[in-house]
Order: sequence, then structure tokens, then C-alpha cells
Amino acid sequence: MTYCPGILVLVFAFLLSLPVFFLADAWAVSDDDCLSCHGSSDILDISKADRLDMVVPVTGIKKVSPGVTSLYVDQDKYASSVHGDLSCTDCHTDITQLPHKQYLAPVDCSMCHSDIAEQYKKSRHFKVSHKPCWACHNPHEEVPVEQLNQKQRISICLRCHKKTSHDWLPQPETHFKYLECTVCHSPKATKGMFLQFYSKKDGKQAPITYSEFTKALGAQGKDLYVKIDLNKDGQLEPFEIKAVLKQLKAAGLKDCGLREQILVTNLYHNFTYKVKNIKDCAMCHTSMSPFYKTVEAEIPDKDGSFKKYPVSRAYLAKMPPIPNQHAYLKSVHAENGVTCLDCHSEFKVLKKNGKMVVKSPGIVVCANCHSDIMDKYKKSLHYRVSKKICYNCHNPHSVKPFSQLTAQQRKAICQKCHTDALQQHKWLSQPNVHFRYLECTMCHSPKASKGIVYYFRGITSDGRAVRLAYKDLATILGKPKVDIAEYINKAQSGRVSAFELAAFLKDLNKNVKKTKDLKYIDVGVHLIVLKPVHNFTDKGLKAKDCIVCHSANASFYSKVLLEIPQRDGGIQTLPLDKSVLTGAHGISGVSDFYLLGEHRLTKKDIEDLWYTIKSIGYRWIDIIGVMIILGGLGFVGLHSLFRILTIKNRRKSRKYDK
Amino acid sequence: MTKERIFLHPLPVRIWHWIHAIGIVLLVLTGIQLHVPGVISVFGSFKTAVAIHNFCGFLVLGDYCLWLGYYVITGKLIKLYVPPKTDITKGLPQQAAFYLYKYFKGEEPPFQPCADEKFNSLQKCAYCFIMFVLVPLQIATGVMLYNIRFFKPVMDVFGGVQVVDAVHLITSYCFVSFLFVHLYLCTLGHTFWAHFKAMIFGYEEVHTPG
Repeated sequence: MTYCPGILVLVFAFLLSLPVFFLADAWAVSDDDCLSCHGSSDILDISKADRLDMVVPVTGIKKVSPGVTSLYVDQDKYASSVHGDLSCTDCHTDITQLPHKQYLAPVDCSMCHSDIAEQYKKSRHFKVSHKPCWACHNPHEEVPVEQLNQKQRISICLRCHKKTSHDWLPQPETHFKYLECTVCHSPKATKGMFLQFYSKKDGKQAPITYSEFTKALGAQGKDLYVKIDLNKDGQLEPFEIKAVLKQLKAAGLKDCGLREQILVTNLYHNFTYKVKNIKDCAMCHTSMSPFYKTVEAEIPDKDGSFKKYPVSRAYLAKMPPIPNQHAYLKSVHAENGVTCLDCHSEFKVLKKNGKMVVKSPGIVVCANCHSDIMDKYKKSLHYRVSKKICYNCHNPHSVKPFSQLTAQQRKAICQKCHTDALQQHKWLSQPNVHFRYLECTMCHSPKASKGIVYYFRGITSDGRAVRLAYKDLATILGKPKVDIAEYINKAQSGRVSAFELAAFLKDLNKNVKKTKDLKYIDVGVHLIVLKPVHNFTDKGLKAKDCIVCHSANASFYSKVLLEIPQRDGGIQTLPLDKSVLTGAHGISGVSDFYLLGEHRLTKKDIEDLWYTIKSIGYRWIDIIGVMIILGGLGFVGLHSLFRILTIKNRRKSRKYDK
Repeated sequence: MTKERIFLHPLPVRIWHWIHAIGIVLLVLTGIQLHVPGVISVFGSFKTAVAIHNFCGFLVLGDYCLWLGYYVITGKLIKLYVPPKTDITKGLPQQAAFYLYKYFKGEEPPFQPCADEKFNSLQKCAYCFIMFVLVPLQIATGVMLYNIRFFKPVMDVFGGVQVVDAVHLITSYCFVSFLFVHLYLCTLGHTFWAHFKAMIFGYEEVHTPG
């Protein structure tokens, strides 16, 4: 006959505890009572039928999945776990007497972790899987999350997500080496980068202990941090970390190194797998990355624990940034939701021989979105001669919307190659004036649509003109959330009249004294290409035809626009009444804007004049009437003046008469 | 040189003149209020201004009849107010040259008024135009605008209410302008107040050589 000693033990224990069952009401269930059965791994060896015989049978209660928990509770692990101070019945509230029921009600973790429960219940993870807390976390062994390293954290997710399809990710193995899953999949969690000095022991990485450190650095009994922080600035710089590693190696810890982990510091349990940010490399590969706020090194302390010390952000410089990381987020591509992978989808290898290798995505990528431009450009002389493609001129990572570039910035694009442009244009009358105000494509892209664009500028007390942004205008108006376009275009016609613009400038100048640094506000004006056509030409066509611009019929006169800064940082352009060009509305700042040939009288001007005469209508009577009165008064005034001046003449003649 | 008092303006003429003057000034002031209602209110409400304007209009109409009747009865109308050909060809340039040039040099005026011939050529032409054209035109248009419904058929002949009102308005501007010039020229007598006094007392002091 075979028997299991465990059964004997349990039967014995059961018999011993019988009196307790009868006095259940008198004595509460203690942890020892629970652990007398669940504290031994023997419980796992008892067959299910035997186990069920030991507890009180119930009907109608749904069995709860045990998740990662086990009937066996390791007493040591439990005591050192984050829940170690709790007694069993604090969570298993439905156990009031022993033996307990066959099936227990699920533990309500939200009794303590209400905020996490709330976050989690809203998450897609819960909605799809309906997993309870203990499906991922073992409450009997749960250590504080700070004590878990990156691998341990990943293992929680990997229990279920055995196959992760991260093939799209450049260098997936690198990412899995440094990141835990929730760095990306919990966008709202706060993150940090943590460094740990390690040495290899038995082929495994183990943190370097205090004694090993002091042995290498010679700082027995002292705070290690003081010893490492050479320049005493309160944070560790890359050179200080290098110096420590050098000393550790010199002291015999040959396989030592620095373990870098990017971990979540305050987890937000609303996990997701589909957020636009997740596949956006700029989420991490920029200085705006969430974990840039916390960069810390774990240094062993005298008592054997590890303390966290701040590390200089300069350390993050080693992380491969995306090109022009700051600019990209503001670029026209980022603003239109273009992520890195939309263009760089074939990127697999970013690092080669320890250096970053940027693989050119090829011309096709730009044409995916800008096919019309590509078609025109390929026909142009520029392409046929130079074979240059899009990014030879435009930097796709820092491209601002074309409408927001100034004439100077636009010109700079061409002058990357055409450095001798000014010399080439000596034939042009007043080349400096043309170069100062015009972009190259004003002439070299005859088919592009051009316009006259007004913008708001402030004149400083030292006479400089500065372009005004939304914040400046809103501050001057004293209305922090004002919609400026609505404020100017009170008629809501979508077209700003010269009177509306003049009234707005008057409002601004009334309030401008509140800002000390500006003297007054007016409008600046420039001639720019509104819609570029990429069929550039250098010879022939209309490139040397001055009349294209110097004519009252120049195409840009039909497009007069006002640039209005918006709250979100963008710029809205509204058509502006052409009459501002005449300067007839007291709008200052446009007197410099003059094009030879623009003031030629045209048939349309006469038609306009006739229309104006007719539109005054009945009010002409008042105008003529006032002129009649002024005529009378003028005669009286002038006659009086001469009368006073010639008093002497009349006195003389009277004397003579006498 | 001796001072001489000559009788220029008989009592009925003086009465007519001052009624006309007051009437015209009140018509101008109320007229301004009616033209730009809500901006200038000299006479209280719009309604009051209309009432005063209407009253003065008829006052001037009656006054005009008084003037016309007086001069027709006395038979001086044509002689005083209609300029003969020589006045236009000779007198008018002479008088204009005096006001615009010779006056400043201190020369004597080319015309001395007397009881039978009290207006110089310029006055004659101006008053002729005013009394036979402007005033009747203003009265006629004013009467038509007083009862638009009644006079509508007549007004339609001239082009409707808008045209009639336009004529009325532009004529009134002429009156205002005339008023200023008239008042100023009145100061060009041999003394500043001479012409004013004459229009009050009837007699004007004139200096005659000898």
C-alpha cells in the first residue's frame, strides 16, 4: 500500500483543528489557521477530489480562475511581499469559519487599489480579456514594482503574449533589451531610465555590491555617491560613470558594465495596443520623451540596499535620436500624422559598426503622397540637368508648411546649391532690392500662383520690426483666448475689409502701451509664392520679363491675403480687400511697398471710379452742398484776410479824401 | 466831405426782410435736424422740428407774397430786381473787380445806392436769381413735400419725391452759403454796421464828397 505522508499530516492537522470548527464563532480565523493547510507545498500533491472533501461543499457558486496564484502560499515570499503585513482574511473576506467553502468569492482588489481598478476596467485589456488582477500579478508574492527589473516586468506580459509581432519595429531585439512593454503600451504612465552597475557572476549579470564598490574605489564606510560624483554637482555625468567603470575593471571586476533599463515609474493600468503614439518613434527618440525627466543610477548603500541617484541628461545623448528630433514634431509631416515608419518602413538596420547608418528611403517614398509635384518636377529642367530629388532641397524632418516660410527661408533652399545667385543676377536692375524681398521662384516658376501677403508686426522702441505671434496679439488685446480671425472679420464674411484691418490695428495700438517693449503695431507685407509649381526654369519663358511683375495686371494683385496667427500656433490666411494697397485707410507700414508700374491707370480703375461715384448716390447732394457752403465761407475767409491786411490802404485814402 | 442820410428801405420792406431772415434761419436749423435725425437735435423731438419747419415754411411763403405784392403795387419790382443788359456786361465785372481788388487798394465803390436804385449790379443779379428762382423753387418743393400724397402726381412729373427732395436740399445748401456771404458783404459798407443799421432804421448814412 502506498500512502502519502502529506495526507497523514493533513488528516492529523484536520483532527487537531476540529475543536476550532466547533468554536468558529468564538475565534476568528488566523493566518496560522490558513497556513496550516496552504503554507505547505504538500497541498499541491493532494488530488482535487480529496481537497474538495476537506472543505464545505457549496452549490451555485461560480468557480474563479486562480490566475497565477497557487493554493500553496510560500510563507517567506508572502512575508516579504508587498502584501506581507496583511492577514489572509483581509482579502479573502468570505472566510469566516473553517473549513471554508469549496469555492471562494473573487477577492476585490479595488478595496485598496481603487484607482488602479478604475484605470484597468476602462482599458481595452480588461474589455477584451476580462482578466482579473491575479491573472498577471501573484498577490502572495508580489514585490514592490520598483524592485522588479526589466526582464521580470516583461515576463508578466509574456505569460500570455507569447507571440509578439513587433516585426515592424526597427531593431526589435534592442528595444526588448532595454524597454519593458508598458513603456509603449501604457502611454499615460510616467517613465524613467535607470542605470545599474553589474558584473558577471556564473555567467549571469549581478548588481555590484557595496563591498565590491568600496574595494575598487577605496571608500570604505563612506557614501559611494560622494566618491563617484567627482565634480560635486549633485548628478552623475557620463565621464564620471566611465571613470567608475574603469576603476571597477582595474579592481578585477573584468566583466562589469552598466545595465540600462527604461522602466515605468508610476504605472497607469490603461493598456492599449492601438494608439497613434505607440508606433511613433518620436515618443521616445526625442528630448521630449517622457523618461527624460527621470534618469537615475542605482548605487549600493552601506546597508546593502540600492539607492537611486540622479544622472545627467547628457547620458541620454547616446540614445539614437531621430533626425532633427525637435523640429520633426513641428514639421508639416508630423502635424499631418506622418510617422517615421510611414516613410522608413524598410528600415531594419540602423546601427552598423557601432555607427548610425541612415538608409535612404528612395524617391518613391515622397511620391507616395506628393505624386503631382513629382510628375511636374520630373519634367523640369532642374531635374533633367541636376537629377536632384526632393530631399536634396527639402529636409523632410524639419519642413515647415510652405506657407509659413519667409521669403528669406525659401530663398535659402535654392541657395544651398546656387551660391552665386547674386552674381548671376547682375543684369537685373537693383538686384539687391529684388533679392531682399523676393524668393527665387517668384521669377523662376512662372506658373506658380503668387500673392501679396500682409502680416502683423510690432515696431520695437529701437525701431526693429518683429513679427507678432498669436500670444503677442492676444496679450496686447487683453483677451487670452480670443479667435483673432473672428475678432478682425466681425462681418464673418471670410474676407477682411480694409476698414476691418484698420479698426483692428487701431484696437491694437490703443492697447500697445501695456507692453513696454513695443512702440506701435502695423502690418508688414511681402510678395510670395502661394502655391509652388515645381517646374523650375532658368532660361527662356518669362524669367527675364520684368512686366510679369511690374504691371498693374501682375497676377499677384488678385491675391491679397492677411496672415492671422492662430491659437494652436498655425497661421490662417484670409483674403484681404485690395484697397489696402492704395494706403488709403491710414494703415501704416505699407508705404515701403511699391512696385514700379503698379499705379498705371487701367480701364478697370475707371470702372471702379464710376461704380464708386454711383454708389455714393443721393449722398452726392450733401457733398456738393457742403462744397457750396465751404465755397461761401472760403470767399468770406479770404476776403476778410485781405481786408485786414489792407486796412492801411483804406485809412490812407480816407485821410486823402478828408 | 459831408454826411448825408438817405432813405433806402421802406417799413414794409424792412418788416418783410426780418421775417424772411428769421424764417430762413429757423428753416435751416430745423432742416439740419431733419436731415441728420438723431445726431443734431436743436428743437427737441423730430416731430417738433417738423412742426417748426412747416410753420416757418408757410411763414416764408406768406412773407414772399408780401414782398411780391409790395413791389408789384409800387411798380418797382422790375426796376430794382431785374438787371438791365449794361449791368451784366459792365456793372457786374466792375463790381466784382471792386470787391476782389479795388476795395483792398482803398478805392471808392463804383456804385452809390439811392432810394430808387439801391442795389449794385452784383446785388441785382444775385437777388434776381434768389428771389425769382431759388426762393420760389424752395417754396414750391417745400409745399410739395409738405403733402406728398396730394402732390404726388406733380412730383412724378419732375421725377418723384427723391428728385424734389434733392432740389429742396441743394437749394437749402445754397441758402446757407448765401447767408454767410450776404452777412459778410453787409459789413463792407462805409462802416462795419452801416448796412445793418440801414436795414433796421431805413436810413443809411453815406459820405458824399463836397
